[in-house]
Amino acid sequence: MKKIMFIIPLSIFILTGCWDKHEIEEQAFVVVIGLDDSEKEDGVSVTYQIANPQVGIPNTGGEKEVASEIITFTAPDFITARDLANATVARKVNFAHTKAMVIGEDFIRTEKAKKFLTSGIRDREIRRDIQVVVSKEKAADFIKNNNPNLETRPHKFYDLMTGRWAETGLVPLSDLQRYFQRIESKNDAYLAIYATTEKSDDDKYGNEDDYLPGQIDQKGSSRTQLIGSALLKDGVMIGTLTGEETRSALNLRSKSIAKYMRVTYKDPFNKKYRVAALLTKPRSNKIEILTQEVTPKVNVTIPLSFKILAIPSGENYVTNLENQELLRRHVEDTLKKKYNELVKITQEEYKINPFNWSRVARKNFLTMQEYEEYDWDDKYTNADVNIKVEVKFTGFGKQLGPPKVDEKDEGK
Amino acid sequence: MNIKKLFSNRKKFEVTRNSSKEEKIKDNLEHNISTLSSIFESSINSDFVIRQCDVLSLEKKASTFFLNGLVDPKEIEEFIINALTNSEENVNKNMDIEQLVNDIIPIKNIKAVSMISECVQGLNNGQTLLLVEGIENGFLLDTTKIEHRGVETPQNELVIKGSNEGFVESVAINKALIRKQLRYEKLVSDNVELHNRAADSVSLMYVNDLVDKDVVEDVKKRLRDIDVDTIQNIALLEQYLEERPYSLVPTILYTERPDRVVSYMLEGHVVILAENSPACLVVPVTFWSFFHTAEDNYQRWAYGNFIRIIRLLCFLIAIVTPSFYVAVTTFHIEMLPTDLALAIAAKRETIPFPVIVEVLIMEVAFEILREAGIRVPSPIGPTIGIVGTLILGQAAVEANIISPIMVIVVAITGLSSFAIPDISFSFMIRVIRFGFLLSAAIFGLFGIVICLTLSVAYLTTLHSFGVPFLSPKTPYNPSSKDLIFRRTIRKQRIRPTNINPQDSTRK
Repeated sequence: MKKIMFIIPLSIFILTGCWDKHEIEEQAFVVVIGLDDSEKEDGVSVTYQIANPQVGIPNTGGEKEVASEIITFTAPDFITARDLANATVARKVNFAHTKAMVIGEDFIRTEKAKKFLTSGIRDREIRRDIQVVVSKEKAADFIKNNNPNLETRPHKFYDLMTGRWAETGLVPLSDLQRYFQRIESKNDAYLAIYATTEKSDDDKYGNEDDYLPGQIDQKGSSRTQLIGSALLKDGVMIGTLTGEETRSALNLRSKSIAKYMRVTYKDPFNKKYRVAALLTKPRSNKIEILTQEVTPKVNVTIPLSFKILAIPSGENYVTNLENQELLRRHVEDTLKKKYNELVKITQEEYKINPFNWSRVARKNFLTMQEYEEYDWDDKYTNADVNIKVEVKFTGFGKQLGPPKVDEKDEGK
Repeated sequence: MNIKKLFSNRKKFEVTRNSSKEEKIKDNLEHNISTLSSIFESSINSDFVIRQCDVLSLEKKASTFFLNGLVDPKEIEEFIINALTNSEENVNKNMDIEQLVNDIIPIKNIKAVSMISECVQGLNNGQTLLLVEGIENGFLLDTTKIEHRGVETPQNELVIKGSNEGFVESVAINKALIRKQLRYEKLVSDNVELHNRAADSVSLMYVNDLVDKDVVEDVKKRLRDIDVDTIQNIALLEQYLEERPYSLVPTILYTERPDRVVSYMLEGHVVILAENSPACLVVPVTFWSFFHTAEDNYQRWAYGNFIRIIRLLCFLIAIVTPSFYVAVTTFHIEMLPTDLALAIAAKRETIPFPVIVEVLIMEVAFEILREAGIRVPSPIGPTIGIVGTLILGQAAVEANIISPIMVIVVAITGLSSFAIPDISFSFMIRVIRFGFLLSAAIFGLFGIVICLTLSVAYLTTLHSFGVPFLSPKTPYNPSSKDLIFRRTIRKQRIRPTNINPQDSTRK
């Protein structure tokens, strides 16, 4: 009896377990996966950026090595490609720390890309919080050209950069989880981070946010720009939104997402200047969708708080309450106009909403069948959207007014 | 063959010894002297002293017997020999002889005995035996003076706030220390004679109107069942009393603080004291007794709970950290922040061993260091520190045998195990840590969870003198909830009822 009591636990240890074990230093951590179309019908061009752990760590002998290894090859899909990668990489390829999936714009505009992306859902190591980045150029080129100067390790750039959405709203939150969700729900568009490392030909000056990647006329060594978003309908890209439009889209969504956005508006008194402000959404939007009529009615109320950062024109919007009211109304009108324009584009051009409004519309139906019969997608294009912006001043900065400027310089 | 002889010899000896012990004291003084001489082997035992004298006031011969080293020679000289020989007062010869001895000898305690065995025990305990010619009674005079340390600070259970007296190797002093802190008429000290060769005596102390009488009986029964030559001290007694000698978990509390003992007695526990031990045992105890320290209640509510939180953390860290490290780096790399994963991978690239071997090397090295630190003679003590830090901290890392993160893991584990107040518990944790480690190396986090579950399950099956080990938490009994956290002193109005005190409210 005693022997059996000993053998049973022992066999548990000997016969089970252990086989999933991999020493940490024997693994290659793929930080970024790139996907492009390949000439082959059933293949995809996969790019792996593999982090070199020793870079940046003192006393390891790796200080002089490159920060990452980038390999590109054609494979049936990006999951099985890791075995192929072992032809050149000596370690077990691991996706557990993948931060971003970069997809070339040309590729994501095809149905094929969607199939390859969704097939990755089965793999255990693919995290749902991988950020989806759409690059204007080929993904392989984007990964190769992206050389941030501040970050030693490649994953850090993607970690930080994709996290900025929560504060600036210039790019959306676009993880793999939401990508899958939007494909399943079908009635809302998915916004993915739009990026490039190439300079665009149509340079423009778009104030603080009205750009597509590559359009910002910046000088400096790193050419990477992540701004605006790619609009995906049912997993396939159909259009782009600039940084400003992306912000508007995020604000039109029900929940309060971006913490604060620094924005400027034309000074209502002095058209030469713009008033700078910090815009936050303290509460969720009030969204009401009436589906009884043939053309649905959408009423959106957006509460915004408005903190003045700078008034370069020198007009008194602080102590003069009349002026204040004027500015408030001006901002409300401007925003309303912008929001209406965006809604119009999505209705007419893209024929899908990126504001997750289908969730609100769903509530009006008792069963899924009823909702599907109603055909929200089709109805949205004609929907009567009514946007109300409620701006509230919450602050005027640390100091009420700037130091007095000479009379003659003023108001010219 | 030789061994057999030894045993047979011993048996014979025991027979003769017992037969002479069971004799009564005769009225023939010479006979008594020879009996006692043979019992104490006076021909070779130089500590056994027989002093003969004439008692003038009685006009009789008398003999005093004592064992050197256990008695106060000054007291014997001054109050016994002097009193016996110089007494010139007229005493009433018609008086009872017992009364006479009481009158003549000015000593604090005199006990009349009639059996040789009683005499022997008295002598062994440092009393002086007085035998008078023609009387069938002996007199045991209390002259005990046994050397011991002075009262000092406890060695292991230190506090910042609170009394600094610790027990010493004398039951009399220890009882005094307890009585000093609890001056209550119901505090009794109940002596139990063990049925063994040396006839050791063990004292039980408890508050008679609080204690659970069944526990007292249980302790006494277990004490009577002990059948060995002698119980040298309380640490050995602990092992004779406990229910599961092979278990890793201690079920009897060993403490060297009188204040702690008093607080336990007030909850209805029984305290066991024995000679030669700078500590005493408390029964029955629960898991929480090992988790608590005296200071938890001395410090104010917030501070006391703060150190409890730290201690809880130390418990978890000491048990789980090395295994958690192994599990995460070999099975669950996705759990680590990317920067940390890369940092660990970078440092481990040149290490020749798998993580589990690395951990084992360091853990064993640390245990060696710890053991060596205790055994090393104090003049060369500082070497341990130097060698230890150099080997564990620096050289091993530079020689690429150990990664620096490993040093942190082992250091925090070691440090945490030092923060566990009870030495038995500390040992328990040090040992099961290796079990956890093995399991984590094979199953990953799953293994750790299995081990934790099994550990808790095992703890629930334990009993200490009939009290479930995890009570009053589970099974639930009303108490003041002084478990992981404690309430303010004012709210601790109920005694833990799992101990079955006779009165459950403190007043």
